[in-house]
Amino acid sequence: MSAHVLAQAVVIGVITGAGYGLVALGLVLVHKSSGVFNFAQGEFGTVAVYTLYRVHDRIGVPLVPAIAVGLVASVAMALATERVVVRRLFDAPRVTLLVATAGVALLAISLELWLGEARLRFIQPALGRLDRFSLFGVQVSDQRILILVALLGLAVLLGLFFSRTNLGLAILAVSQEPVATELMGISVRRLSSFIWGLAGLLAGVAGMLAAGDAKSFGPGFMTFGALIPGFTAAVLGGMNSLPGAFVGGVVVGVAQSLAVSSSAFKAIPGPGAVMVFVLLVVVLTLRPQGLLGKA
Amino acid sequence: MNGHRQRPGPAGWAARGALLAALAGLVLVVPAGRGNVEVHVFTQAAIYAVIGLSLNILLGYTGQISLGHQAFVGIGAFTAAYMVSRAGQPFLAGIVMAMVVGGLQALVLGVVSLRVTGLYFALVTLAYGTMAEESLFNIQSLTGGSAGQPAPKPAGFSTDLRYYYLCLAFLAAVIWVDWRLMRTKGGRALLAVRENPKVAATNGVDVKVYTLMAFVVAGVFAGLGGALLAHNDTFVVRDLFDFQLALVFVIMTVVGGLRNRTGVVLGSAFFSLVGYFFDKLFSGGLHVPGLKVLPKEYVPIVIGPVLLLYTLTRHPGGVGQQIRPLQRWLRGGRFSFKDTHERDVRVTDARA
Amino acid sequence: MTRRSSRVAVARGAAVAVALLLAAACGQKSDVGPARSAAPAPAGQDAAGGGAAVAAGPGGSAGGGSDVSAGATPGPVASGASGGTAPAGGSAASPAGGGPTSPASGAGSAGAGRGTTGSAAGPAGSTAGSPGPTGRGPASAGGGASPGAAAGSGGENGGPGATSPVPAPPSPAAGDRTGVTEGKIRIGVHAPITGAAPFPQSAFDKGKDVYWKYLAEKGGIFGRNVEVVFRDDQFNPSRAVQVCREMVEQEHVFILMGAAGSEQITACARYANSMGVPYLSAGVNEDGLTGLSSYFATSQSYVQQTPVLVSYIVNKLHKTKIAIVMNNTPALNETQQSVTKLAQAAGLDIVRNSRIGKNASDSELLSEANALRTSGAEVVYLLTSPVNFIKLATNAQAQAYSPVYLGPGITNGLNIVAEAGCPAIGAAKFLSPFPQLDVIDKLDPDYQKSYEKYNGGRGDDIGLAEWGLSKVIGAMLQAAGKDLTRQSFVNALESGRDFTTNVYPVVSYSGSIRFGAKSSHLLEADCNSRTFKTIAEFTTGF
Repeated sequence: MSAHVLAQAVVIGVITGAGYGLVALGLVLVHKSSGVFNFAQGEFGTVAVYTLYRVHDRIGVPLVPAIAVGLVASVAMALATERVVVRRLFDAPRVTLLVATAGVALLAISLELWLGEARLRFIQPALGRLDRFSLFGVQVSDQRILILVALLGLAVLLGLFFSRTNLGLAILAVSQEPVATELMGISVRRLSSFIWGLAGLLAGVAGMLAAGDAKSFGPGFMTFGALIPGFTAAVLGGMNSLPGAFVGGVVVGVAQSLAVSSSAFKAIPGPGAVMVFVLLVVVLTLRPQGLLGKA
Repeated sequence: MNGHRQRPGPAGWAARGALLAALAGLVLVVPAGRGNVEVHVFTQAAIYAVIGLSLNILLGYTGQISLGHQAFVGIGAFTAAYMVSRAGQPFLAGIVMAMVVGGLQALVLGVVSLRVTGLYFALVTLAYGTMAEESLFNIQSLTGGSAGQPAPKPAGFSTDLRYYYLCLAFLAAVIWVDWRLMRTKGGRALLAVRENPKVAATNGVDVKVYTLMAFVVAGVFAGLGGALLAHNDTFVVRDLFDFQLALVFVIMTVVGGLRNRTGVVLGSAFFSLVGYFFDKLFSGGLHVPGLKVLPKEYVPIVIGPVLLLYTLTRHPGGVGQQIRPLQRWLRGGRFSFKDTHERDVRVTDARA
Repeated sequence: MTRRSSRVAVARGAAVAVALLLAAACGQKSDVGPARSAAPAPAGQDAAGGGAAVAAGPGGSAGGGSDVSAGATPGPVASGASGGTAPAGGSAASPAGGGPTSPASGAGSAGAGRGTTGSAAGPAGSTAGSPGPTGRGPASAGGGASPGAAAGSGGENGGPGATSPVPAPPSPAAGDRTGVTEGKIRIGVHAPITGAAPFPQSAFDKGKDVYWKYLAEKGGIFGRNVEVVFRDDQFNPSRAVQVCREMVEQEHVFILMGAAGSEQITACARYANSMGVPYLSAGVNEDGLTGLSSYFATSQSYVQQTPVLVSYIVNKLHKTKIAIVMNNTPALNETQQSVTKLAQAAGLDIVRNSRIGKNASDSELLSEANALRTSGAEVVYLLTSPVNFIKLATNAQAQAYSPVYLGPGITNGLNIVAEAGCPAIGAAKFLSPFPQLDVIDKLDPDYQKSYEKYNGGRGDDIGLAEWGLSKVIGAMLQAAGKDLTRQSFVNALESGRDFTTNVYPVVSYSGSIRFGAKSSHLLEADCNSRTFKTIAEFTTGF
């Protein structure tokens, strides 16, 4: 592979990896606070996009309020999941919760297929300039810059939130010592709702940015396209580390991109999926705590 | 010490016999009067039961969750199709090869599961399933790529009805093997492991070996299911083995009732047949005023999650638990509703 | 009560119940459908005998099949015929090397090969030109004989390399009137409503009956109205077979039709052939469809469209650097070869020749777009689904790369593609069996009039496509006569007469010619209006 192609692959990888990082942020957030692997994280995002599309394209609401409505939808879905599923299974083994969230994801996908129809929808990008600047021959559009900025900004914000604010510290306390936290007068239930709502928000942002970058979306597109890379990114970075999610996302994105463009993988169909799988297994067997996680 | 246990009288036995006969008639005789397309659906129900039993071994006995089971099945399906179409082998060779490949691949995953447990293993199986769908099942020389691979029915069972009986026979064999295996030392060891691994280990049970064995058996059954599926559809395409199918398999096993063979068979058959019955009720799909039409293809994935969530939160024993009174009655006991509620679904990996 | 007597009671109860059930079950009729003269030969089914039925396929076409490929594919046709090497998936691949008859020799032997295996000769023999005197229709003894004879000799050639065994087609029972009643003819259509292009689910509903309603007012077809059953094959060949089975065995359709999608059409055509049901489809691949006695293509195949497009590139676009991008399915191998050969012969510089997945991921399409840009191609000869095309073009545009897209096709020239893909697709040009809305009023004013009458409002281009196709089918049904049977239908097609609709291209067939369309329309995207316009009608080249 020539240096030129290599550089292009890296640039594209960083951009898609930023999207995975956003998903990973939400996953780490939920896991850090309640130990749950949220398999519905992708669908929170898909629902946001479908709502945005419905409200903006069909009903005609202008873009910015429509985005807000979409985010409200994903937050609402996350809160509903928390209340109906997670709370009921609070004491159940974590694997049971995993299966339950997977069920939520499937329900969302089936509703999208039913009500949204099983077809790909193409969208015109909201932000104009496609060729803001060129990096190694890869055009970096405004949309892509936005993804990177959003990821960085959110990661920083969340980091500050957890380390500086009372609420953030309370969430960390809950994950380690729920009983003691409750005794201190903090409502575990409220915290749980808050966390899930936040995860929903993150997923919504991730979904909208991803759809905007790909300029198309379909039923379950976040689950099919970003959930596994997102989990891999979270594991790679360390399931309990927020900055790790960011780092992990970029690594997964770049690795996947290299696999797809590398001529070494020409004979293998679906090289991206293979690379992500291999990465996941390698990390879990060699360094299960991830790059930035604590052993 | 129990008091005097009442044995049912001849009328009681006759009633039990009649019910069993009715069930047998339903399964054996009714399809004979139906058209090919319907029999094809019934056959699929039997095959899903085989797949459910295979996942039950994994989920229920080793406690490992597999969200990539559709890949196990798919590998079996493509192997059988390849053997029959490309390698020109007879049907049985395809079946055997499918089981071997299924078992091997499960073994590999089992080895991985020894290092990676619980939640993380679930993740690995999900990634594995996706990789299989996008990569493995797309290799043109093996699977025909996106054009798929034909898998015609075997000579002698080339009509849908005959093939149905063949699949029923395979299902019966799988049930029997599963039953016998769980009665062996290995099976009982697995149950012990699931309950409490430390105690089991101190009693000399080699956890690892028995877990791997369970994986292999599950993989073998899944491979068989896949092969049967391939011939039923007479054409295998990778599109079938997607994320939704993986979840449907998990759902049908959990809703059926883990570790309850009858429940799993019923649950699997249900999910396979629900679309068919739905179509009978609402041919052309369900028209809800104000919403789009719900076609029969989406019914399993719409009600599946609902049933799953209901089962997990309310009746963790699933269908199997609910029919326990009936099972007891059939065996000659009293019909009572006691003990129909398990406290929670032990889907967990005991080692997690 | 003793144990023994209780067991006897159980046994008695069971026996009674079973007897009752058997009686009930036997009383039910099976709705398998009307009798066929020969059950799909099980002999063809198991793999060892697979070679048998397989050989029947191309054997049947020897001397026939795609002789319209004259000038297009002389040599490399062996790709379709050879079994083991090329993954023929779906094609009636004969055993590699052929059977008793010498492969690829003149038409004579190929023609004689009709009754015997005539294996590898298949398509190769056909290009020798002569239809072959033995190339009669399926009705003749050849239909019944060839499977039998082939089964015998094919057995030797079966085994490794024999892909996709084709069950021997039954000779249609004289007077097979399934789907035809005094007042109604029922036809079944399958199309990729989901999976290939961003159609809304109801896209096909409004237009599918317009022509038949129009015709009904004029007396129908000898007094019969036509009812259309329309099913979604989800762009998936396994599902296509399933819906075709349901349409044939449950809905009892008279004939089957495939709207688009090579693998789906190939799979369904083979099924239809095994059941003796006439099957028509838009022209797609020829490989895998030649030799099917009940198959007819209503528009030009991809291979037939190749010279038209190459001539356009040379004479109208005046560009020399082209890239070829096609779906990575075995059915399209022949098309890739024909395009490569013709382009090279025309002096074009093929800077990239690649295949992409039928359901390619976003990253794969991004990578392909990048590679195209790096190759510097000015024209991209494209054969892929609309979804892939739109994504590819969008990715290319994001890289500030805008080649001219062009290609054969059926669905790429629909307005939904322009709506979703503009401005990225630029002035993409695609051949199509139907013209676009801008010229339809000139060619057939009845369309808009009828659409307005029965549905209200202006008809869209999907409705137009359905109108055109229905018109062709209607002409064929009419030609089959009042005593309408599957046999009379096939006879009418093979009679060699022209079917002219002034919407779809003129088609005519014979016993051996199944790809009988004579021209296509060239459509061009106009991104100002986000529609396709017709830039050449009924064109055969430039």
